[in-house]
Amino acid sequence: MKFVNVVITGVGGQGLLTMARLLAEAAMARGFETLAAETHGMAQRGGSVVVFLRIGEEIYAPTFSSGMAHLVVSTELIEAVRSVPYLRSNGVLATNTKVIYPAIPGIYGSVDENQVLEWLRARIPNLYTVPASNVAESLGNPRATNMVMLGVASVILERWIDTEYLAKEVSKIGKGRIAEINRQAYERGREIAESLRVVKL
Amino acid sequence: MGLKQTIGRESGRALLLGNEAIARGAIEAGIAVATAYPGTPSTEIVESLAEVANDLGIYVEWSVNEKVAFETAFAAATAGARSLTAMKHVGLNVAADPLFSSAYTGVEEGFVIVSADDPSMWSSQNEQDNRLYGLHAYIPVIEPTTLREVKDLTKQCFEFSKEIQHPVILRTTTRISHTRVVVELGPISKPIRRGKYFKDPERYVLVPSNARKLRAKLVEKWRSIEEKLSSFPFNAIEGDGKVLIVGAGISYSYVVEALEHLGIRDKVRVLKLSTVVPLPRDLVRKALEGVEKVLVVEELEPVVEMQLKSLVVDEGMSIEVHGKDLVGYLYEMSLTRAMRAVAKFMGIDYAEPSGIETTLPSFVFPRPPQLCPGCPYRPLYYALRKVVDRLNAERGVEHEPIFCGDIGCYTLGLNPPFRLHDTTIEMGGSLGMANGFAISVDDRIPIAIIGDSTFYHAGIPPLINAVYNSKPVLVIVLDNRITAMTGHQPNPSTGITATGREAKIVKIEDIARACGVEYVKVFDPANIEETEKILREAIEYVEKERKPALIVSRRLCALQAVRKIRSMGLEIPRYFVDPEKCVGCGLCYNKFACPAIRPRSREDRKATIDPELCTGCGVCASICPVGAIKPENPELVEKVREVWRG
Repeated sequence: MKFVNVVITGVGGQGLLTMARLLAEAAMARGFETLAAETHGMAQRGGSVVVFLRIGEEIYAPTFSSGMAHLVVSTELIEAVRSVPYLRSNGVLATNTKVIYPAIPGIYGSVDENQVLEWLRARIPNLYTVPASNVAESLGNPRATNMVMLGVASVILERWIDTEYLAKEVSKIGKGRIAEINRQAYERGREIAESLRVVKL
Repeated sequence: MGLKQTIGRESGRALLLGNEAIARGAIEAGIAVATAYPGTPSTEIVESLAEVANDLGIYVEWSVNEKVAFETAFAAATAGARSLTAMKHVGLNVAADPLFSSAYTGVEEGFVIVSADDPSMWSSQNEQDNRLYGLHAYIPVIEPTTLREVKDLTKQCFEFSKEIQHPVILRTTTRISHTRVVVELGPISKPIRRGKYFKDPERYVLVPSNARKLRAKLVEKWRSIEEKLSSFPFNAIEGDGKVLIVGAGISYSYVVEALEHLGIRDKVRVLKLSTVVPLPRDLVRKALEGVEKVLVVEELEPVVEMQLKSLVVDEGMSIEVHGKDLVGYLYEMSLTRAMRAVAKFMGIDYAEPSGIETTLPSFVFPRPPQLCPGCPYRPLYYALRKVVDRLNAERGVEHEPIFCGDIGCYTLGLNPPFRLHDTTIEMGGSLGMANGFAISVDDRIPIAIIGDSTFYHAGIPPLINAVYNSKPVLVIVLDNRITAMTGHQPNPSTGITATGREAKIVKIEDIARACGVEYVKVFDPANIEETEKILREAIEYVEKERKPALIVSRRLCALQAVRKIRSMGLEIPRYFVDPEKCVGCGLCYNKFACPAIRPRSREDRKATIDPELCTGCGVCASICPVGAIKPENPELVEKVREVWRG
């Protein structure tokens, strides 16, 4: 495999651009070429966000199409489902288990989480569900959810990135207590991924 | 990693956003002046230059609109300063007037106009292709064909502009602007500026007698520019074969991978084309030698295809030319779109990449963008909908005001539960459209809803028009004291400049009064009761007096407020719902529609607040009819109150 295609998705405001940037920098630190196509502007206002991350020896196109992703990482359960069409037939999906509802009257509670998980399990052999929001909340900062998923992704992508570099950069995000929680959240994500014996791409 | 981290470095590699790579290229080229009005996807170019302006001695400003930005940078280039102006595609419409004239006069130092187009309309009202401006205005258009060349191409654009003494359009699209790429850094140059102006009225005073001479020179100059572009270093003819595929701009990157996927990279000749306007005829003639058919792959309009077809006719060649017939017009390029077009053109079989699943299950709900938790527009819209609903009940919904929206986050008032917006056309269009409805609709007044930055940009002339022609128009200026949607750039309401200097605040209420508006009020929308009262009074004033009124709804953007509170070392106050008191009426999550509040479950309709999303603005506490929403720490609420008010 000369390159890896990754979709990083979730809800605008969850820190997806930070996740993608850190992974791309870690890929660069490993000596690879990398492109990360971000979503800016209106979509960041609580809408669906999709970042296309590509790592490899020679990369040209900034995006890829349906059926071409080796990995989808999601910080929200419904966004994970929305990105399933990007996955190749043997693709890997790692997702937070939390559902975030849009503030459109009448939608709240319309989803049965078990049904969603079943739908995913029935289709994706390499599925990893992680209670990232719960982990972040228990560490004291619910906004560190992205760092938990970053930790998970860093194990799946360990052949494509410099994980030492990544750990160092994670500890530079935020100040004081926030920075410490981010670091812990990232480490917890890595432990969870190791305990799940995730596929390493 | 942004520009700030790379700025002291003369070599090495950095991961930069396409827009940051443009900024870095400009710095390496010796840029002295950079101006812009923010607009997705162009914003980060001047934003990142602003970060390093003081260190490098570059003048950087957020201008009030694209026309002013253009004129500022253009004038600087005529006075010998290397200059850049950046704008989104529709921004160039605002600056089109000086754009056309700048081709007649030319410039004395390098002048690069970055036009960031937005195919697929990720954050725009249209999908216009600004390469056409180049053809129309006689200004060369140059595009990156790969992400990794963006920085060096930008540098080359400045050199080329200087060489031909003419403006150059560097045209990008969203996937160039907003993709991060590994960039090899080069040495930083000292800003190139003369600091002197040399009088030359025959060149710069476009009275008809001068303009006629300059027009003749321009047509001549255009031919020489076209010749020079044939040796432009970022164009290339690659590979060989009896068929030619032209990859114009970023489409080249998709073509390369499409050929790779289809396993035919060694069977075709490829023209990597960076200079799309004017078509470098000598180079294209060479690329066409011995070729039987051509496919032009480009996004949006057939700009290269049209020029190439005209060349084929002029030269009397018999070559089959394909383009839009196989590639299509709509939206941005994709790998499957490029593969499909190439496969059809080559007459080879092509199977779409097969994935796990192609259809989404029905439980996937839509997730449109929405106003952030704590957004000051929410209480204003909540109050406006309430006041208007009450008026509708009194006198019939057919008299509901016409809501004329504008460009900014506040367009989201379109969606339920507020359902306000009737129109959103372009920057300043709220007030302009209101002027028209005021004289053509008898039983409904127009309400223009416009943000602070948009008001400064294009709202003042139509306001004067409404006063001068005495129009019944209510203007609501949503003043969150920042240009929010593009990522928080300061504007004349903020009190600082692009480079962090303290600046005079140009108060919107002062402008309104100076324009002759007699009814002017300012309020904090978080005070719902007062807001409702002012809204009702203002509507009645406009209906009765048949004159314009302007009210300013002033409260900080929530993202800014949260940032400020944190930077003061404070925590954001946490709110909770008292389950004993909550009656589950749903007002907070259905009518106020804060994304941070939801029912406890499908069965239990009592409200609960999501700590991951809540910004602690506290407005929900004041609208709750039974007082069930309370802060955990009332003292903290007092401390942050003034921050929100700006």
